[in-house]
Amino acid sequence: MEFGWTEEHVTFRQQVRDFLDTHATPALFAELYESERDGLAREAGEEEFGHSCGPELRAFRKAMNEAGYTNMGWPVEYGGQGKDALHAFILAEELWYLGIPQDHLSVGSVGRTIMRFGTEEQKRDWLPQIVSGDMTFALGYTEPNAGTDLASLQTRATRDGDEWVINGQKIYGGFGSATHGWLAARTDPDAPKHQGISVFIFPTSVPGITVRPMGTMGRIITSETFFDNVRLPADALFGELNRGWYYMSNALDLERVMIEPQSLYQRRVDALVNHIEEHRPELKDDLVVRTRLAEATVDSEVSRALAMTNAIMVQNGITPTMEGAMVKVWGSEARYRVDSLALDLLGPEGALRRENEEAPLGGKLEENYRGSSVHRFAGGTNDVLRRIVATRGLGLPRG
Amino acid sequence: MAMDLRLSDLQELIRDSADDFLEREAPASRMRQIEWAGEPDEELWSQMVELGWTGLPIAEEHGGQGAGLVDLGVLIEQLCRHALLSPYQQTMLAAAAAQRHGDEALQASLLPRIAAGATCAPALVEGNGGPYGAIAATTDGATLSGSKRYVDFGATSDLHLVAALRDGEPGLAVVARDQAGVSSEALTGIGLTPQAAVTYDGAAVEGWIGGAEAVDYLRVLGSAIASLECYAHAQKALDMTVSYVQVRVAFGRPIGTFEAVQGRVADAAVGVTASRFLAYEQLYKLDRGEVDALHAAKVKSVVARSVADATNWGHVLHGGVGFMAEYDLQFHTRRGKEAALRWGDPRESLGAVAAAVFN
Repeated sequence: MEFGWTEEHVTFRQQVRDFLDTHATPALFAELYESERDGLAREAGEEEFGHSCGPELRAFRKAMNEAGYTNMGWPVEYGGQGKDALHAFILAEELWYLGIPQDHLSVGSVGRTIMRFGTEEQKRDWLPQIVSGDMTFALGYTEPNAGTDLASLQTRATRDGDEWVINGQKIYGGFGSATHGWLAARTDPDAPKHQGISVFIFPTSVPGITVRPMGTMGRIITSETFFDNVRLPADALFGELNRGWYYMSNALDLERVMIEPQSLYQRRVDALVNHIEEHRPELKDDLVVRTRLAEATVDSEVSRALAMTNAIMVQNGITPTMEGAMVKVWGSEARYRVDSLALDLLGPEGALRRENEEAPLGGKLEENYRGSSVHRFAGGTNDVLRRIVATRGLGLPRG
Repeated sequence: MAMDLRLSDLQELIRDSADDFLEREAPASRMRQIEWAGEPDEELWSQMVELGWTGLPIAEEHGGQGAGLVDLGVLIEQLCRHALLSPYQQTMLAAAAAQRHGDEALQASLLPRIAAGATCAPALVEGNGGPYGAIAATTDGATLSGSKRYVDFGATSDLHLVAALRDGEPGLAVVARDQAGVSSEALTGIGLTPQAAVTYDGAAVEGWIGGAEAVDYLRVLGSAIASLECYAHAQKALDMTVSYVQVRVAFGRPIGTFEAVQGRVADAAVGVTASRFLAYEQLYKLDRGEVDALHAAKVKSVVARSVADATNWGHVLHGGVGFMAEYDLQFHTRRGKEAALRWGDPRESLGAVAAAVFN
C-alpha cells in the first residue's frame, strides 16, 4: 500500500493553483454568479434557460486550453498529453473547490468515446472543436418515462432511405444551449431493450427540434426537447447500429475519476465557517455550531477517503464499479446534509435569497439547499447505486 | 512510488500466513477460553514470538525485522478478524514509541527483549481523563509514583511504559511490572480485554524517554492502531453479513436479494471502505514522521462510527442467530466498540475536531 503523492503530482497541483490565481478572476466569479438562473423565476416569466457561457468563462476556458489542461488526459495522437488519471483528479478538485463549471460531458465522456469508437474523419473534424469549446454536447438520454431505468427509453429512430427520422421526447438535457446532440434512440423495438438502442450525433439546429424551458426548484432552468420527424443524414449514426448502450456505458465509465471530489464538499464547509467567523462571531462559541461543524469536518474525511480510493483505482487501471457508486452515494448525501446544516445553523439569515443585499454568500446557501436533492437522483438514483454496491461490488444476488 | 491501495507482496505474505496460523491455532473456541481466563494465552504468545511477529516493526539491529507500520497494520487486521485477545497491539505500540523517541541505550536494552517476547503495556490514562488528560504521575528518574487506569494487560505485562512528569517535563518511564512498587486491580470492559487500574508507589524505573513529543507520538500512534482495529472489526462484520444474507432464505428467497437489505449493506460498506483508506493512510503517514493529533481525531471519529454501524447492522440483518453468544459476530461488536473508546473516545475525538473548527 502506498499513499503518498508523487513529486510530479504535487508539482502539478501547485501549477494548477498558480494558474487559477491568475485566471480565476473576480470578474469570472461575478459572471458565473450572474449567469445562474433561478429555476423558480420561470414561474415569473423568466425565459432564458440553460447555462450560458459568458465572455469571462470563454476567456477562462481559452486559457485552460492554452495551458493544455482541457484535454491533458487525451493521448498525444489526439492532441492531448497522455496525463494520468490523478492529474485529471487534481484539476477537478481544484476547479470544483472554486466552483468553476467543467464540461466533462463533452471533453471527457463524449470526446473520449469518439476517440475510441469514432471514424477517422469524426476524430479529425470533431476532437479539436470539442477541445476549443466550439462543439458542445447536449445529453439526450433521459425521457419522461426513462430515468434511472434508462434502457427503457422510447424515442425512435427509423430509417427512411438515406436518412434517419427521429421522433420522441427527451427531458433535462442541454438542447437549449449546446451546439450538438448526443442522442440515444431506439432503432430496434423488437430486440431486448439494451440491444436495440443507437447513438446519434447532430447539430441542435436541425429542423424539427422544439425546446421548451422548464422551471426547477433549483438554480437552473432546464428544458424538455421534442423531436418531431427530425431528419438526419445516415452518417449521424455514431458507431454501429444497435450498439448505443455499449457506447453510453463506456462514456459514463470514462469520467469516474472526476465524480464528487472532496473539494465539492469541503468548499461548503469552509464557506460556512468563514461566514460565521466574519459575520456571525457569536456563533463561534455555540456548542451546537461547533459540534455540527466538527461532524461535517469528519464527513469531509470520508469524502476524501472515498474519492481518493476511487481515483487511485482508476490510476492503477482498475475499474472501480463499487467504489464509484459509493463515492456518488456518499458524496451526494453528504452534500445534502451540509447544505441543510448551513441553513439550520444560520437560521432565517441563511435562507435569505440573493435579491436581499445582506444574504449570506450572495444567497447561495438557500439555493444550495433547494438544489441538493438533484445530486441524490441524477446520474443514477442513490438507491439503485446502493444496489450496484451490493450486487456488483459485494456479490449479493440480484433477485 | 505511485499510490496503490493493494497489498504489497510482503503484506500479502503477512496477511496469508497470519490467517493460516490463526485459523489453525486460534479457533473461536479458544478465543472464548482466553476471554474468560482474564490473561493472555502463553502458549499462543510464544508461538507468535516464534513466528517473528513481536519483532515485526523493530529494527533489525535490535533483533526485529524492520517492517513498517502499514505492514504491522496488516498483521493486526488479521488478529482482529480472528478475535485474538493478546497483548500484541499494546506491546508493538510501546516498542514503536521507544524506537522513535528512546535514546540508543534505551532502545538497545528494551527492543531486543520485546522482539524476544517480553510484553509491554503503555499506561497513560489517569482517572477518567482520557489520553489527553492531565498527567499527575511523577518520577525522579529512579522511582515512579502515581496511578493509571484502563491499562490493557496491565496485570500481566512484563513491562509498563508509563506517562509521567520528571521535573515538570512529560515523558515515558519504563517500569518492570513484577516488583513491590507496582500493584494492580482488574477491570473488565465490554471487549473483555483484561485491563487494570495500576498503582505505582515508588516503583523502580529502568528507563526514561523524555519529551512531550514522545508522549504525543504514543497518543497518536495509539489512536491510529485503535482506528485500524475499528476498521478491521467493521470489515469482518461486513464480510460475515455479506455471506450470511446470501444464504439466509426468507419469503422464499435469500434475504440479500431484498433491496432494503442491500441498501443497509451498501451503506455499511461505504463506511468500511472509507475506514480502510483512512486507517492505513494514517499508519503510512506516521511511518514518515507525520504526527497529527487533529487528523487522528478525525480518523477515529470516522472509524468509530463505521464499526458501530457495520457491526450493529450486521446484527439486525443476522437476526437472532447473530445475537447468540456462540456466533462469532458478537466478538467484533464488543471489540469494535472497545477499540473505539481506546486512545481517545468519540467524544474526545469529535471534541478535538470541534475545538479546531474556528481559528
